[in-house]
Amino acid sequence: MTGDADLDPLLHQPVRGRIMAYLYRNRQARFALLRDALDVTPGNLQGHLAKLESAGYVTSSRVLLAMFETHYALTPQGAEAFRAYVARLRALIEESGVD
Amino acid sequence: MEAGPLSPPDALRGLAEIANRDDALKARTEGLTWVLWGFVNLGVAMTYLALLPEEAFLGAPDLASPAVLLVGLYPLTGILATVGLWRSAALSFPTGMSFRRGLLFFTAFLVIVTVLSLGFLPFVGWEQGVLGKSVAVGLFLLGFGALNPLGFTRSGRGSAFALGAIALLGGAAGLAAGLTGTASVLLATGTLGWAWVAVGLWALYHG
Repeated sequence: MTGDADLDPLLHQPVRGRIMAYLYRNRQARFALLRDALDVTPGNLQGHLAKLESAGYVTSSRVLLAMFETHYALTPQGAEAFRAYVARLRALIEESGVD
Repeated sequence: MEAGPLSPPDALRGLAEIANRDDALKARTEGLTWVLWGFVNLGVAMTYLALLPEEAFLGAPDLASPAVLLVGLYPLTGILATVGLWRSAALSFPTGMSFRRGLLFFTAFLVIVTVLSLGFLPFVGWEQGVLGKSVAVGLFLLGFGALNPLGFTRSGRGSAFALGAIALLGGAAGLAAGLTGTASVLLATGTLGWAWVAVGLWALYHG
């Protein structure tokens, strides 16, 4: 079962889905913390964040505190898309009867 | 690179796993730990500077002096506050920090640093004892960063290495310059106190 019908293709990808889940839980995160939590390379993370940002799901800001760092947070649109994605995943699991 | 087909159960499991991570809270708890111990070091140094004449730094401390007894309150409070902090954090993520384990760990920390500091005394003398302590704390922190006994995040381990290097280099520079008395206490205050507070605040607001 692939079950990807009606699933947001932007979120139905392991790294991007996890980025969204992490930001949904933690409200915001700096780049290095995301990289460590997801255990991905900086280039890989940067690429996925750029896709999420251009879709309007994630917003970034440069923060100066001892040094410049980029912080990422979900936009209201991103949070809504994530909630819808999770709800759709649950519905698909329920429909298929797979635990 | 895009991954292959992802089943809904696998996708949901992946999301649940990452959503349960509390790295940010952990990094902030680590930051607050550095801040706490920075204040402990500052409290020790300030109490000595305020209550004791400069000559007191040039010889063995009078263990019955009120200042020495007062100084002991700082590490004691530091231990209790740190254990309390990590026990509170354990409500959100597994720290493995029970009251007993925390008490043992931080008491061991004080004992190791004290033994290392006393070990330096034959080489540096009482007049530069505080700089020997800086070097001892630096060595301890480098070991802490390498062994990571509390399971710190990568940032937290980086902080331990940075603070260890600052303390080690600060102490060594003071010894090389032949600093004694108030000057040595002020240098140690900077490398063991303000540096910890600064790094801790960075982690606290950057976590």
